[in-house]
Amino acid sequence: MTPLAIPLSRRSFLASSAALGTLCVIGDARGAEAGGMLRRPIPSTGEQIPAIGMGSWITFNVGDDEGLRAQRLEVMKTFLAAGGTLLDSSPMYGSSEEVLGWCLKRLPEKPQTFRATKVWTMFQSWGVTQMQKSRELWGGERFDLIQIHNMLDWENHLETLKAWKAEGKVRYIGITTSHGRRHRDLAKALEKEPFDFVQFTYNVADREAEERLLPLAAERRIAVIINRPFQGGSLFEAVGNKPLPSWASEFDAANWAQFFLKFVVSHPAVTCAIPATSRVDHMKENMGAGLGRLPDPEMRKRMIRHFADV
Amino acid sequence: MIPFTAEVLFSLYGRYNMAFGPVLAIGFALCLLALFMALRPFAGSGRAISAILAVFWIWIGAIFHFGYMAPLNWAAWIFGAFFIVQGLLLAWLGGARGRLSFHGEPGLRGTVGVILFAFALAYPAMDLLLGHRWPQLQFAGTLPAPTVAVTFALLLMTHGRAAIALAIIPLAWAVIDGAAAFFLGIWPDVVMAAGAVVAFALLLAGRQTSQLSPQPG
Repeated sequence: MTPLAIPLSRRSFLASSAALGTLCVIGDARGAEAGGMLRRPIPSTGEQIPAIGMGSWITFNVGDDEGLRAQRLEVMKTFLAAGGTLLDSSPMYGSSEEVLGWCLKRLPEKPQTFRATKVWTMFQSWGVTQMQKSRELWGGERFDLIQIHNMLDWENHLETLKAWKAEGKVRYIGITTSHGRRHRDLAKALEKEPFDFVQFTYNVADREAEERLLPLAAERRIAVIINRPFQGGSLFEAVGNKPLPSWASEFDAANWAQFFLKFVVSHPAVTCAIPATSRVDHMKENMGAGLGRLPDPEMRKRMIRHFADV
Repeated sequence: MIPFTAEVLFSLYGRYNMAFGPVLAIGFALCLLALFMALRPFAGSGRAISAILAVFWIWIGAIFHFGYMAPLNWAAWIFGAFFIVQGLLLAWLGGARGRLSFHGEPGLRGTVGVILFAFALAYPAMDLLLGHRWPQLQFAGTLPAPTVAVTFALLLMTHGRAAIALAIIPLAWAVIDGAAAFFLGIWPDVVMAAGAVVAFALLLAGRQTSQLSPQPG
């Protein structure tokens, strides 16, 4: 089970401390124009999407609570205002898809979004039903991306998704895993089939994907979405109350969230990272990772060493 | 992996309690009635207590798990099914076949049973200590964790294989819920799980003791 405890008070403390005397790259969310947000191409088409997306595991699973839904609406507004577009969810995430759809309906203007969901069930016919249900929950628009969640019955669902892509019912198809599970099976699937996207876990503490999956995705021209960029929040627990190193300003990171996210998106094979949050202030921090400079390879090594020492 | 936070869970408890206010009071009253009948048994009291427990488990399975938890957690469909099975087992073994007779127990079983029962009834107070307020409180008879505690408390007041058979699903639930509660920071449920394990051990020990006891000649 994933611990949910994120040392919010410590995170807030560190964010405040790091902001003092360093370049504050968060600034006003209005300053994060689409042009300022780091964008990455989807290799199969060249379409560019912002490098910081939004996950919805746990964070948007709030059921019918109107108050909590209203809070999530503010989180989504902050995300979109800062230049984000990719929204990721799954039927596995409880009521998250429904809440996302609820929020999307209540946005003052119809925003540009990149809608990514997943199919998570056995059997092809159940998958079709599930994906149709997902579309209703999100508000009826065509999905930009449908991913096979945790490789469950992937060969059957891939048949559906290939047909749907040919018919224009979905723009991109993908496959996912997380927590470092089934990397070998995933690599075989990527070698064999024409996926547009792959999603897996990668962060400064879990770099297994560097060995095979990231190079393979680059070689096969598959866009990469990274889940768990904060390792379920445990990266913040690991750094505790320690201040951000001063050299983080060299790549415009003003807090640990941006340190961790910039590490992820600075890998050349990564297209988009999808941190999840239920808080507006954390969303602003996360979106700041898409602004400014990124660490170069030497700096990435320094980040790895620093995190290992911490 | 737990797909929701404690905040969302207690918010759900609040909406559930607001929807079924009178039922909370009836459930709580039935808990007290079951305890009274266990301490002062009479002909048919075993069947009546079994029927009360059966109603609790079937209600929680069908209404709470299927109706409220399922949108938050796909596993609620499985949990709800097992709660209904438990209710049907109680109705059959305890109600229809009369295999359970409840009575006050001396010694460790009785003490643990009383503690568990008091713990179950005090659940709302513990939720208050956690910082929650009405209606985000858990009541025995209508929500799973305190109802599991009541069930074990009553099973400790009976003997035989039927009691052990009827403790398996509650034990499984207690362990699963306790593990989730540990990560969510809901300590009463963690304590409930520990109490369930102790109670189950006492039920098993009671069966071994009765097997070793000389049979009437």
